[in-house]
Amino acid sequence: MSLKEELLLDFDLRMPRILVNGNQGIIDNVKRLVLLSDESIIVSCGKQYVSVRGRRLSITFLEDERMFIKGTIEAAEFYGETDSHE
Amino acid sequence: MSEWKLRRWKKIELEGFEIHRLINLCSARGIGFRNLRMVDDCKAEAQIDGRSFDVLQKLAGNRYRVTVVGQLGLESRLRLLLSRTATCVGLACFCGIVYYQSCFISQVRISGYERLTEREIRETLEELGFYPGAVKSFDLADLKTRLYHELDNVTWVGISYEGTVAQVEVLEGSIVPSREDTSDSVHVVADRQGYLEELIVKEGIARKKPGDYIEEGEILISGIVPITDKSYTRKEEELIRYVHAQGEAKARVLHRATCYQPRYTVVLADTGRWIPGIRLRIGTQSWDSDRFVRPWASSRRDEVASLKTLRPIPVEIQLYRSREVTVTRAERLPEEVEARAEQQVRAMVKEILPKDGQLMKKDLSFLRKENIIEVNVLLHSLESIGRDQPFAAQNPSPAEEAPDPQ
Repeated sequence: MSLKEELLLDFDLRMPRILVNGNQGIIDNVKRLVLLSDESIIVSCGKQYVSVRGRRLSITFLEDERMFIKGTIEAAEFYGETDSHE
Repeated sequence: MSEWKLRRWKKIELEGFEIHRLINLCSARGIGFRNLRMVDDCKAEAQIDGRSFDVLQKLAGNRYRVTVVGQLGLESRLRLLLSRTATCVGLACFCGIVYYQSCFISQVRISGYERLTEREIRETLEELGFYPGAVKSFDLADLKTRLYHELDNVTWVGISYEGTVAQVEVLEGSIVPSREDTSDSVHVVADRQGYLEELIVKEGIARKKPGDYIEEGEILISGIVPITDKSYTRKEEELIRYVHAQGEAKARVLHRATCYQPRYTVVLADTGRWIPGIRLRIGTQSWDSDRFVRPWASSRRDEVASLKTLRPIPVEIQLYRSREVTVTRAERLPEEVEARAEQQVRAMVKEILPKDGQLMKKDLSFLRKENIIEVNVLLHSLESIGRDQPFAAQNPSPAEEAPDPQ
């Protein structure tokens, strides 16, 4: 990966960025909440959507385009237009 | 996160369709959420900053129902506490009691004493006003100095507080007996007048015998000792040896003193009438019902019950009966006067007699006057009366210093 690509990936504020382990996850660049339920949370990050599926999901923290999710996370999926980097 | 805990925040319930739209609107306005959870399709729970609540309500409008189910955060808790007057008063009282309690000494611990007894030190401290229940506003430096002067052979005094417990540390000095200087020539002379009872000579020549009346300053043991030399080889002045006279001289010394006794005594006779009374002391403040209710001129107080405690604060409650009495005057019985005079004489003996003095006899005579009884006391005590008196060894006057042949 070139330096340009790396910088674009790091500083692109419209790309989804997600850090997940089994019980909690952090999604950055959250622009809009699309769906919120006990089993699924879908957010728009600008260019793409992120879907987190699981059980007993709740948003512990939502502020400054950052979302902290708690619950049993089973899957994370991305929708929407594909990134030009690919 | 810690800032969030300090803030006033509200636990709310959001009801309506598509709640995520409201959340998006709020996020666009910079309103943050905590612990956001969907309860069902149309109901969510969340926590928001109390300052943002009004904005949220405006954004919710008629489409969503917002219900506050709880107030959280330090600020909210403080507001809640301040709204409860009784709790605030209780807390203030509790803090006040704790503070007030900390103003008094609850216990005095004494350590470091060896020859002195704890009781002696404790009594001295009590005389200086330093005892359990006393206010802690002491000038410790001044107290240390006074304690240092009051107690014998104390080289260091330390006083410190550990909370309400006062720690008194005493360090005693070691007593080294001084060696008597026997290099110079001295006589043993009487330091007061009396009848000589006993004379033990260790060095020198006795000048008086038991039974003699001794005036102050008279020589008891002479330091000029004659030398018996039958060889006639020495001159007359060479036949004298000058020594440091030593010995024990005990004499019967008379002490006269006068004390006084009241001739009459006050007799209180109960009339049978009484009223209950209460005396209350909290810390340094005291209150007595007798100050306000006192229906008779003369009364006597009989304690019925009392309660005294140091914790949480020094409190003393005393219930008593204030009995009406009539006051009359009666002459005291001779036996009573004598018994009281004996007490006075015992106290007097402690003051008058020296430490090594031994009381041999006492005579008391009573002289009744208008309102008092004069008690004349004559004490006979056996005391050591000798003291050293240096003298010049050169050119003694044979007539003055010649030893008594006896």
